[in-house]
Amino acid sequence: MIDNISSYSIENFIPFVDEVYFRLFERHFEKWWPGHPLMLALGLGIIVLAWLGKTRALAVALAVPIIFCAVTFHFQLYAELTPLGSYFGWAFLLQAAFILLWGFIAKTSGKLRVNLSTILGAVIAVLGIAIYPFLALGEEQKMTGAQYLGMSPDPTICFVLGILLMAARPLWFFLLFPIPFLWAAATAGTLDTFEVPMAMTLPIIAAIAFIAAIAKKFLSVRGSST
Amino acid sequence: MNRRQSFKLIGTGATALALSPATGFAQEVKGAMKKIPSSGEELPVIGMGTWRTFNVGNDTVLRDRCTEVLKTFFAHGGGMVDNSPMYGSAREVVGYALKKTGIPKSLFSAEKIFTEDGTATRNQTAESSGLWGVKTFDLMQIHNLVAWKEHLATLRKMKEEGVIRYLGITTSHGRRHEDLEKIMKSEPLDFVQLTYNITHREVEERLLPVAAEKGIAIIANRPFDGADLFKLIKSKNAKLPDFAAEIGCETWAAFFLKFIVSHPAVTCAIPATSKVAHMQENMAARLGVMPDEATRKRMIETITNL
Repeated sequence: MIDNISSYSIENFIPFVDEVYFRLFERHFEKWWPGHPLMLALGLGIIVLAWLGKTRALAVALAVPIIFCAVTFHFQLYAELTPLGSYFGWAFLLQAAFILLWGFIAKTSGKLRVNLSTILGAVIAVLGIAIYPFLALGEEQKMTGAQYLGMSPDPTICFVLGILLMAARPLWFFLLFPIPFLWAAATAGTLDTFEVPMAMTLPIIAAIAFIAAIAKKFLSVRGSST
Repeated sequence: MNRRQSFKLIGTGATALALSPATGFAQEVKGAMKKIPSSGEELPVIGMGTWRTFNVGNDTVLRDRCTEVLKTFFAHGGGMVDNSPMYGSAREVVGYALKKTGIPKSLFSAEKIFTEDGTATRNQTAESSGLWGVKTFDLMQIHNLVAWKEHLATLRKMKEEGVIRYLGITTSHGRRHEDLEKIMKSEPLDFVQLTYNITHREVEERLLPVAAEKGIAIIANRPFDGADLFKLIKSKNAKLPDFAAEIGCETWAAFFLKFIVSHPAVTCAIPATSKVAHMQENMAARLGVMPDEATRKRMIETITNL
């Protein structure tokens, strides 16, 4: 149905206005509060599991906010506005399945070794649960419109990228990277259309995590060859 | 300008409309109307689009606000409401609003077929009428020329059967104009919807003359170029020119809309909004005198020189 693709802009694929989009978070909050502190506690628990190298438990716990976000945000709210909601709902479920697969077949490496990528991963994960909710809140939005881990896709993806950078070997990180990256691109396009100043935050975080994973891989290859 | 002067201007405008059949406007004291060439039926020159603005999902707060916007539209003599299956939940939301306001006599329901399945014309029409809560549509259009040959053949039969009253085809953003021109020349159409506004006037060259020649009504979408025209005005901190008052424009919205609907080949414009105040501004473009050719040129110069 799309011809002359050069005549299209991202705006053509966003069939709703900014107010409607940001209202989704308020509506989600109204429906699911007080699930937010529980999700915050789960997030902290996930960071501890990552630190301890309990990969299976970590994968199961990490799948929870992704699945919750897929069902309660993408399918139940975002899909009302655009078919992208359904597509990303399925993509998030697939991501949760991949993470479970990783948790159950990847080699466990025990307690994490502290290096630059694990520290960076931890910082990104903490950013996802503690700072992102307020970072993404516009001046005119209510506090109930803040975005939280498991409740909204942006902090969820931010957190997932951080945890994977901390706990997954680079090859697994690369395999688990495409869906978070796709969402980062989609959310950037949406927020940029709405002229939100922080539109590029998630793609930048994704890029930093990706570069850190490459560095981790490169350093581990060098380390094993010397 | 005070309220009394405004009414005087409106009255003068209405008289001017009544006395000048050459403009293509019908006699109408409440606001400008134009005739659909294929039938002679009159339509208010300002309709309502729903792209983005009415896609609010199940949000009852925003649904109720859309209802107020629609109510304001009809209260100001609005007619055409344009929608599409492509617009997310907009069909359901229009249905929700019409259920609350009731369906006024002035409603001119304009829907679209948006599917590559050329056999799905009737099914999608039925689906849309269910969502709107209307028995039939006044106008059914083929969205963006998608599978147009198949859909057009079916729409023609549906028109003969009285399932729809008019048929048409749409494009936007200046896409596929060559194809559209061929279709306009070769197929009997009641309506064509295309993008036309003060900064996008390519259609003046070929498509609008073809429409005038073939007796096809024109619906102008993107009258504010998305919201880019307002952004332009804001960025330049521009004030309405003095001559705007002469044509009854108190806002830039009216200025932009009057430019569009004063083109002899254009039947109506369909601005979209989610705000009651903006709807009131849009509907005010039906009032007062319409710009003549010389004034239209001054309007273009005003925007070009910003």
